[in-house]
Amino acid sequence: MSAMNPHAVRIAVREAIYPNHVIEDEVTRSVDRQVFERVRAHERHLVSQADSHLAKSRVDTQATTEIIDRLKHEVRFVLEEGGSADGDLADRYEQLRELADRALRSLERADQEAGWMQDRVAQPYEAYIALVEKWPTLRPTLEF
Amino acid sequence: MAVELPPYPVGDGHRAALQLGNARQEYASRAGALRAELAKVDEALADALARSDRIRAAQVRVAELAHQHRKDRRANR
Repeated sequence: MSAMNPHAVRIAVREAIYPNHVIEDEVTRSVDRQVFERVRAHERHLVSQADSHLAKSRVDTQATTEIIDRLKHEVRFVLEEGGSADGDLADRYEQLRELADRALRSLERADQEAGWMQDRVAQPYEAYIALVEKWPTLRPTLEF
Repeated sequence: MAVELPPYPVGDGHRAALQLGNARQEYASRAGALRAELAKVDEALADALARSDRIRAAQVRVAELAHQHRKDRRANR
């Protein structure tokens, strides 16, 4: 039984025959509790990953805001106020353009990562069952 | 009949999923703002370069006119 997927174990204990309802309730409740504990631990891990992603990506969004600000003040406003597109300005523009491209790539990556995590963390039970389905050696030993 | 199982009780994952959703909106909004600013900067650069090209062409034309004028004056003396 312990090598079974925990979701399948929850179904199996409900389909089993018991001498009375008291024992049946005890077993099903005990198995649910054990499975939910494993799922909760997995959920905590997913939440911790999500929190770490959010903390890291804050740097990317802040950097993007900074780049927008510098493009405005160091390039666009200078030109709009009649400044000439000289070598110095072209050099600043190229540096900022490179930073902007990097920021856009980082934001795209952050969005992909967040999307991937969001699906799992929104449904931790399904995520845990999918995990132990793919990696049978991670299946827990349930006592009942 | 399919066995009905009690659902897993909602935990912190729900909060984290909402935060990730908000973060994704923020990524899209910041990327959109950056692309919009880059487009405005490119427009300003194009205008400035066109302006300086016009000025440079006018300066060359004026120099040519002045040169011709001096040449004509010398010829008329």
